[in-house]
Amino acid sequence: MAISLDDVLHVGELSKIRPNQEEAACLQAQFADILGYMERLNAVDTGGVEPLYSPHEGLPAVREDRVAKTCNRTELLMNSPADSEEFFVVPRVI
Amino acid sequence: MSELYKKSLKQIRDLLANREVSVTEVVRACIERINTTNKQLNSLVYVAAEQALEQAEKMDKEGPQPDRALWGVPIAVKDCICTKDLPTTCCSRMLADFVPFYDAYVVERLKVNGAIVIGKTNMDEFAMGSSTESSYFGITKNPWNTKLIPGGSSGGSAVSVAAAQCFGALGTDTGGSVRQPASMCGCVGVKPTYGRVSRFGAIGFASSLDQVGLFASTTEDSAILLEAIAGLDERDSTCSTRPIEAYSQGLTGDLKGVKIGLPKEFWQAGGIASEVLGEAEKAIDAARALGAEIVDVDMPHIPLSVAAYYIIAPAEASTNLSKFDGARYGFRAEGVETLDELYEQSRTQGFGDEVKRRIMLGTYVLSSGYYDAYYKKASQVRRLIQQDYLAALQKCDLLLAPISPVTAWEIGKHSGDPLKNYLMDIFTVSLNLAGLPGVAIPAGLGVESGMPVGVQLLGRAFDEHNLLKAAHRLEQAIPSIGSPKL
Repeated sequence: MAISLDDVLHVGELSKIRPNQEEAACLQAQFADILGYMERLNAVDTGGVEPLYSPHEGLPAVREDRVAKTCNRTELLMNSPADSEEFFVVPRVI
Repeated sequence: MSELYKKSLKQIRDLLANREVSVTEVVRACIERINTTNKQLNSLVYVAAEQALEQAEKMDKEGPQPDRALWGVPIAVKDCICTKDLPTTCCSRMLADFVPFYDAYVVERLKVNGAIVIGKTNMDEFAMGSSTESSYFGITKNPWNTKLIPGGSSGGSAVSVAAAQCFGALGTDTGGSVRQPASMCGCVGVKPTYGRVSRFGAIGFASSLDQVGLFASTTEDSAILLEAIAGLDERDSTCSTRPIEAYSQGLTGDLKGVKIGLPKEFWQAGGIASEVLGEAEKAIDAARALGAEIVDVDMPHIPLSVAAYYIIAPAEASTNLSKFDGARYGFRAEGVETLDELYEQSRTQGFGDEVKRRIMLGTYVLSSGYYDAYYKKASQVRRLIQQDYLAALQKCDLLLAPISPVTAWEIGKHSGDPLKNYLMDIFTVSLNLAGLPGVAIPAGLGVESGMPVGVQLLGRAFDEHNLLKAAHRLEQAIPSIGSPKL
């Protein structure tokens, strides 16, 4: 499957990553190389094979539903790049 | 007591328990060793000297506690595993200033068992790599030859153990990131079964593949460490409820009656360096001499494992890493006006090239129109790979395989060619796809390079005890490779 420069830029947009022109061209070549290698999967007949999304196939373990205090506001804001001591601060959205 | 750092974990633990050495002496010995070696190796990105000494002093006053298996033992922790009040950066600019307010489950377990966190180890950024070259904090060097890579992504942990900066280290293994650096640095590495060790607090890369593992200088030390960190944790819903076995008990004996499979698709893959084959074959001979029955097995889908893995792992990474957006923690770009710019610029400037490449690749294979062709197809092949393992392990008790087709390569050799780097993972990624356990042990030193060569024993789900027993017996039979000269 050929991957165009526009595809790379579109994926960048979806990923919230903006490569510059030179980087995008390099990524296009690398993706072509990598995705080309992936083509070998098409040689395998996977008709009727159930995909395996996780080795843990049982039901997820559930804990007792109880109220527990896990962390406080000060701790949660400890690593924030900008906060008001109450909330995370980001550029205005409205 | 001189050269304390040369002791094994078990030896140091016993000396501490008998009060033949103090915790402060042991911690000081590690710090001195770090001071003399770390500048050259760059294996630790943070040394918790002050905290460790403070802790040591407190423990010395309290006296030994025999019920705590790691009482007073300094252990290093990979930098993607959260440590309360100590930096946890994933060796990325994105988290360069991040200090968690909680411990990962495995770090809680280390502390419950009396261990002292001596430092945080270098790694490929967000654990994405096989050479520890993509760290934001610089490359880690192989202690056997500092011109060469140590393997990765947990290269810092492997080097820290091989260079005797600590008595054991934690790492993570998503596609071989414990076993491969263990092999390249000449130490023991354990990748437990998916679900054996809680992933709580281990910063996720690919959640269906990630598993916390460990490094030590002997299989016995590995068993002690695994026993300490395994366990049920309600904060990881994929954690198993199966009881933990006493891994460090009953390790001695021979291999009579044990059937070991050699998967043809590993051994006959082509591209394996003759010096790797040479040393690995000595391990097979040792197993045979110990009474094991050696048989060939077929695992026809193994050659597809790199293709399946490099679709699934980036796909999961693209979703896992979407949380790094510059809003709540981590790097935030300056000079942005809108929220969208904040996200985009923080991620573009905060992540390194390999991480961005994998996020974008993962986004592509999950995007509309390509999902079935790539992600679903790879997940179906993953099932076939798992079935290969299950069939092989029905015929045999365990499998023996090479870890890396080559010994450690020169720094910079594969930079700029990601596919070449990915292909180096051919012998390790399939185990993570299947969710099974593996133990890497040194087999010898390559005749051409003089660099360590490891082999891996692969086993049934939750069969770590038998794997460690077999690994221990082999370790006893294989001549020691010694230690790197530093």
